[in-house]
Amino acid sequence: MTAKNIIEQIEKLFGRQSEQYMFQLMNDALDDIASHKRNFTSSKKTNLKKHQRWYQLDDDVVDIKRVEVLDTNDRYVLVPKLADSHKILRADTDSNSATWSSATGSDDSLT
Amino acid sequence: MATNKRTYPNSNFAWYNDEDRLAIVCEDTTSVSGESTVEKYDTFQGTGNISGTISSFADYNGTVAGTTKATCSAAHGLKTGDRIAISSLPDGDLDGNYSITYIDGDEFYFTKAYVAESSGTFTSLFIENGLRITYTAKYGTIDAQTEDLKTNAGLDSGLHPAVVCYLKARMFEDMGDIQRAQYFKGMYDKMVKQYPLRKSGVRTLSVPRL
Repeated sequence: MTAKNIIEQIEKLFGRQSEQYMFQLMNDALDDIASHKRNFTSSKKTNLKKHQRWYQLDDDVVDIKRVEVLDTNDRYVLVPKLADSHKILRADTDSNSATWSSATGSDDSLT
Repeated sequence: MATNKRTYPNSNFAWYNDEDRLAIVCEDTTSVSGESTVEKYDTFQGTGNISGTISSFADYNGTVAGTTKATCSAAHGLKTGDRIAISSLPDGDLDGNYSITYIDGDEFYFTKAYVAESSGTFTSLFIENGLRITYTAKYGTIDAQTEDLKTNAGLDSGLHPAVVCYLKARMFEDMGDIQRAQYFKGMYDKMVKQYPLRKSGVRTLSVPRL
């Protein structure tokens, strides 16, 4: 269903409406559904940087499901989540810049 | 070395996250006197996967103040902002870690006053696309009438009627008709709540009586 289809259904009931307002309401609906369903998954890649601990996440990330790093065979290997990070980490670093790009999904994975 | 032997990165990576950042750490295997190294984690310390030979250095101060241009013997594969370690010959006067600026396929410059050096090598301080995350995401945004909720925003087509109900609920609410607003809000909630999640595979195997 396109945005135009939805606007037509609304305008049939409520008359002519502001296009921007309709887009705003649709995006509100999408955000609300995303917060309830959490079934829209996506993948992104970025450079693994030496001496950098923190990578800033994009705004569209709701919940991280898995993290993988590239090995020498160009395969992504699943890495575990650190359960009790505060007790076993060395001093923090300050840089956290990251530029994420969409993953195509064609890469091989090892789990 | 056997080609199927995984040597890099090592198997001791781990991650954790806070509200808006992801942390990638490695088990720290360095030995410091008097300190236990067991289960200590630190930042990634490995070597990058992009390297090359610099065939010549040149003074780039006339174009960008305080910089040196490097010309590589082949395409360097770097982008502006990438961090690299340079080792220069014969004296090592340009040795160091730099953030580079792309000029063209085999040239870049970095902020360091030019010193005459004949050649050198560079190694990236990162693994290109070395980190991949899979996450639950927000849906895309709609900002044109021609955009489709499935292809542009990623919303499953079965949930499109729920969006219509949401809009109607908000519109009736704007008009002060709370009774109808609640009716459509109830329909919206029911649709979203009851819509099935995709299954990742067969969960049970049905074996007929033999």
